[in-house]
Amino acid sequence: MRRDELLVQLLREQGDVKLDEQQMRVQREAIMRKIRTLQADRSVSWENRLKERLGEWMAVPKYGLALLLLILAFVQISGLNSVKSDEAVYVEVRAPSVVEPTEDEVLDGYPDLPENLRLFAPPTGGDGTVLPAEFERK
Amino acid sequence: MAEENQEPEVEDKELVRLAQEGDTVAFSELVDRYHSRIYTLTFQMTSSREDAEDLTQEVFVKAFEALPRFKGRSSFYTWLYRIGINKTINYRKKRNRNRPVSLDAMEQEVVSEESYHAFSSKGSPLRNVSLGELQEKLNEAMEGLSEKHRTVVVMHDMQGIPHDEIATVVGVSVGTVRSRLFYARRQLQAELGDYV
Repeated sequence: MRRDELLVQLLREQGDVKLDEQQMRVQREAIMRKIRTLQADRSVSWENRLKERLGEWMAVPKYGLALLLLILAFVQISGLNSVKSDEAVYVEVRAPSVVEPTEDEVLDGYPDLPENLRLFAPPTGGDGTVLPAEFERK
Repeated sequence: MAEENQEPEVEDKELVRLAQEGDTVAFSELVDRYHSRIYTLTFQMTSSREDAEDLTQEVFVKAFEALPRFKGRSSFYTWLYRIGINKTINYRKKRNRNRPVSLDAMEQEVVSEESYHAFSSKGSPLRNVSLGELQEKLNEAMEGLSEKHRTVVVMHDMQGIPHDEIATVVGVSVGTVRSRLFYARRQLQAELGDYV
């Protein structure tokens, strides 16, 4: 017998796995138990699954923190944390009516001062001229 | 893939359709039909009863979960077999490659006494080798193959699947299957040089 034929025959024999029917039946039953469990899990509503998983998520710090931030963001955006309006004191604030004042009103509004009231000090030159700051009289 | 010899009462397609609608009884029938073949595949690739049992269960669970996405472009068995191959290869990659060969393989007495005597009576060095030692050497040699080569050897030389069907399952050309088989046999012969 050639070496390669011998090897193939050896492999064929190696591949001839003897199966214990009783053991196979037990395994098939175990598989179907697993499958039915999976099927039952699928039919559970998402609300129940959420309730079941919420505790697990919160137990993991990073998930718990992330969930807390999400809840806070939701509360902030939805305005649930704002002050209840029916418990506040109402004050009616009306803006003053905007009316363009007449020229007389503007002039009347100017303080009535004497004619000779000097509002500003005379220029440095004394003759009504304004001297530059660096000019020095000799 | 080679199907059952006798025509089943209900075709796979119908059972698959029912299972896709959530009928676990239909899926149970599919498990009954293909369990032993998937178990044999996983056992041949792992040489361990415990691993084969776990993997077989994983294969069927995975198939059940993925069943809604099964479009029927191939037969259910081909699809299931592909899941089995992928699961086993992934499992073996994770497993420590230097793990000692399982004694389960010895318990199986997969090399029959008859063949053993046939080999040893033809002037082969086998006459000086015990049955257990021969199985151990063959397992060790198989462990030494890469996953892709081992897969082809298991499918072709152990399970007798034709090249073109292996090519379909593995997703390579027939030429590549032949090439891998050739290389794998050479490597096995080199490993078993003192025995065959």
